[in-house]
Amino acid sequence: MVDENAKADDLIPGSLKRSRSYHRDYGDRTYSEIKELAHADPPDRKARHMKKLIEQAARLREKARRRQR
Amino acid sequence: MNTVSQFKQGVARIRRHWNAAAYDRALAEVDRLLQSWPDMPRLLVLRAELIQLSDESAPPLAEAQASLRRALDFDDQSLDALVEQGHFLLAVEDDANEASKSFAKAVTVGMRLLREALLGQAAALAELDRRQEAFDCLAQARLLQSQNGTSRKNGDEDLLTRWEELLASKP
Repeated sequence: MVDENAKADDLIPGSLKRSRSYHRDYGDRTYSEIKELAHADPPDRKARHMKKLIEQAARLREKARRRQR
Repeated sequence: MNTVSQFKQGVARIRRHWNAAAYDRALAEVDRLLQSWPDMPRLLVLRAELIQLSDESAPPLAEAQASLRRALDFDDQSLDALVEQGHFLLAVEDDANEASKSFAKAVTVGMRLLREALLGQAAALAELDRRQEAFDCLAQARLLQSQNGTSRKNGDEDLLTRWEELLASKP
């Protein structure tokens, strides 16, 4: 579960900040703000990228716990 | 000597570090295990995952992708590697086209494995006189086959034969 109020930079690991999908100018936005922008019409391309990075990191963090079950 | 117990202990250490969010330590443990068990797809997938979770001092993201490719070079049916490659391509590379190909293959492999598992379970449960559960497994396998759009004459006949065998078996 991703903290909706956490800033993108606190949710995306340093390694993933080297991805072409990372946009430094969106780092201070919260996950909630980024989701809203990503789902806007038309969608905000940078927000869409950042949302995917946040959710990728969250999925991978959770994966070790799932493996133990 | 590289023993199975040494491998399991190493994997347990990786999990502990991972759960404690000590991704750099978990990655170091994966690299240590890879020296003894090089090119093991499971370790290569873990390496790709941990590189992504680490900080800026981790190996470049290209190495994560290379690890996934290497895992699939050694086992192109590895579900874990196919799924992780799909996620990497989608989220990190922003390449939905290539991601879709990887996920599609994962779905095909996964469906086939699940169908085989259900048929095997049906046979085992039939031997244990757990006929209702065996029927349920066959029904799930049939549903899976039809949902996957792979319903075909041979597959249907195979399931029908198993169904008839189960009906004919002693209750």
